[in-house]
Amino acid sequence: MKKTVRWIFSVIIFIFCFLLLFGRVSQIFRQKGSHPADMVHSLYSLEDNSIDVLCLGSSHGYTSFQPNILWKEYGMTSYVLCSSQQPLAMSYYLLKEALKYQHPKVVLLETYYIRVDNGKMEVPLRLALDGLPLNETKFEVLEDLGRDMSWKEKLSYYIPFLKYHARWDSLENRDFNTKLYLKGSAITYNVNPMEDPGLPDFKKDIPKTLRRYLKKIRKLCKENDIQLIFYATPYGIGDNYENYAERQAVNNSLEKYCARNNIPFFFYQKTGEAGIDFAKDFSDSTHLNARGAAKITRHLAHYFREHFEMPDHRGDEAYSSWDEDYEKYQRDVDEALLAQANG
Amino acid sequence: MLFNSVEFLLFFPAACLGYFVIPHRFRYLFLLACSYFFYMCWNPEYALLLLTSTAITYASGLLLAAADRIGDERRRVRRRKLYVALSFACNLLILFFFKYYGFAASTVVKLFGKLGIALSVPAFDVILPVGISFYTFQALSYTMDVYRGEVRAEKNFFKYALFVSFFPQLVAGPIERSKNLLHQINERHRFDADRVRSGLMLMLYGYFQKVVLAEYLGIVVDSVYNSYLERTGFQLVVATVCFALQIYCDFGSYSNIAIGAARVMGFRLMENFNTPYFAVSVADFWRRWHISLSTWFRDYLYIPLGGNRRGKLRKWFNLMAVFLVSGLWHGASWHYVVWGGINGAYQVIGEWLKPVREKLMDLFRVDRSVFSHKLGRILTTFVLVDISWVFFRAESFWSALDILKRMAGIGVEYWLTWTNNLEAMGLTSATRDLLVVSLLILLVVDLCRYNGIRLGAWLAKQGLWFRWLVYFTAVFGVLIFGVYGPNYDASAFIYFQF
Repeated sequence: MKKTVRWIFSVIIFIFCFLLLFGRVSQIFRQKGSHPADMVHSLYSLEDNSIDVLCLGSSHGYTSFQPNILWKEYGMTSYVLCSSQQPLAMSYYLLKEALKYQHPKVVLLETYYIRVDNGKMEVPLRLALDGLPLNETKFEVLEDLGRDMSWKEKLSYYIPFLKYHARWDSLENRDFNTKLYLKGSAITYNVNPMEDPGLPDFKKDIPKTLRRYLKKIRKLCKENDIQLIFYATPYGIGDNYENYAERQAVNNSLEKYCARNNIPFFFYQKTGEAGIDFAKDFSDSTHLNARGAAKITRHLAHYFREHFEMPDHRGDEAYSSWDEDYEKYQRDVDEALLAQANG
Repeated sequence: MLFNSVEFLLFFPAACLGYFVIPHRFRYLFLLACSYFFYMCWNPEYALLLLTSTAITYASGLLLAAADRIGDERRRVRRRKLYVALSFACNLLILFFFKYYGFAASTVVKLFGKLGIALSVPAFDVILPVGISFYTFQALSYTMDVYRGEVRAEKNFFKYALFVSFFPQLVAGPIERSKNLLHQINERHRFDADRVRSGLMLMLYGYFQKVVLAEYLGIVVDSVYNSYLERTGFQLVVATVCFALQIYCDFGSYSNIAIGAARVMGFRLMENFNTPYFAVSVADFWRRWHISLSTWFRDYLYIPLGGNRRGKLRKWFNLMAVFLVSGLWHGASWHYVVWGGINGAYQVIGEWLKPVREKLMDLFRVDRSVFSHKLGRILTTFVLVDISWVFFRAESFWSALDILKRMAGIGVEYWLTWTNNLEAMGLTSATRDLLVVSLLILLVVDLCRYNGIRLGAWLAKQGLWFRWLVYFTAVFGVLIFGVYGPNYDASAFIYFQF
């Protein structure tokens, strides 16, 4: 009997150690997004109730909004919860998840992916979802977006390691050190000069399946007393003009949608408000570089300051980690600029 | 369900838990239900075939027992032979229909075609029932064992059905014998932590052999064999050696997982592979390779044919017969038969030439006691066995011949090129390194086994920290380096850089 008890006890410890190690190993092997911030996963490293602004969306979100500038220049705290090609459905679920820990005054939603329902595409879904721990949000997402998956496929979302263990021969340094930045977003300094292609004059409807999530996002913000703001970053043609026009045409519809639902919408390419310069502010055909991001961030910051009561946290002991992160950010900016100057 | 599937990883703990929780009286019924569930995960209808084979051999046992009570000796002998013949005929007919009908029909049609007679035979579209060769042989061994009086006929049908369908070894062996397994069903298995641990370790080693070694070796073999016309002789040689190791690891892994899984529950299954590539002769290889099948053929075919008691010629004939049938057992295709034939021929020729070999060795004063002599024999055996594996792996007899020619440098532009070998064999430098390290582990484990060192027992005696270090390293080694789960394609993610 004594032996059995001891055995059961050691099995429990063994399983506990295994799960602990497995959790760590899973994090190492998880496919990270394309830049150092590992944004979805780092959400859990923030101090509770510490952010004023939460930004959701795709790469257009994380290349157009820089929390470090908002902090340094305005004393507002913000977090970019974006991921590559983030499906709108995932923006909703990530907002829901974030609200468990944070109570932002403003939620920003970048609108690039309100044009197509990509919620069931594997890679965008994984990049937005895999960073979440095994919790009820993940369960809810998979009940919703994983309806058509086989149970084995679904299992590989609950246990991403099943998918990613094959990465053993392509691990990088940052797989082991994921939290280089806590509060940052992408920093790119290369310049891709373009001309403003102008906007189409027709409208394209928001996909029906996405209207449902827009409604859910609105409702969630309303319930939590959060101001929802949409913004569309400018972008160039990319592949061809027809596709470009189709994409922008959805923003034309969004204008009406936002007006009807009382959501502020910054359609920068149309209004030119932030002063984006197509000759200098893009890193490729569709994404803003750090200069462009700074312009958008500053424009939004002014808007926040004018319309909402945003406290200035600078100098507050409780927010010292923001200064540390800013230093890291500044170091990287200096390095990037130096590298650029040296050609 | 396969051993290396998520289903099995869920099923097995549940089965074990149920087995130990349920009172002893009902355990065999529970295991029987588990075993049929396990089998029906492949194809539910084919459980009927399993049941049929079980019923026939079960009845044969009872009938043989009844026949034993017949007073008249001639009648008794006749009856007993009749029952054995009926049991064999029915089971082999089922096996023939499901496994060999298509092969036999096409061969007959081809043969008549050569004679200028167009023949049409009805075609049946049947899928090969999983494990049919294994459980049919296992069931037949029971009939024979009862006939020989080595076991008593089992009266409880469900216990007997469990013997035939016991899930750890149902689909890929070891092919158990009734005298070893049947009585274990009545044993009262207690939960023994040491035994469970040792069983789990064996399973883990089996998983390592399967998802790491066999899978990566398979990549080399497939990439070379699937386009052998574009490969150099060197690459073909490497791939053939890899195939020899792959089939050992693959087959050995199933046996190890089966033996380990059975051990967890308290059952002792027979050993199936005993360091086969350390064999010093082809005959020795067959004493170490798929032992449960080799001994099956020995006991139920070779010995009934007369074995080696009727003179040399008859012995050679028997050997050839056994190995040709064994080839056919492995697969319904001529290249398997040729593979079996070559293995038989090696032994016949080897024995025939033995006096010559002995004389030559005396002439050159070869010291038979030194290590190099033994190593030479091991390597020679390995080469001979490898040559036969070419026939086993190749798509057909003719492509096997072509591959052998290319390996010998006939018909290839270059036998060896220095660059691009890795890529041509489907590897990267990382996967090559992994393969080398894994093969070293295999070598060390087999060397220990060969020298009678029981690694499991040795490990169990070590301090806790060391044991746990080994366990965790092994578990995570298999989890990380194993090939399983949904396919991961790094380039799919690279596309999403922005």
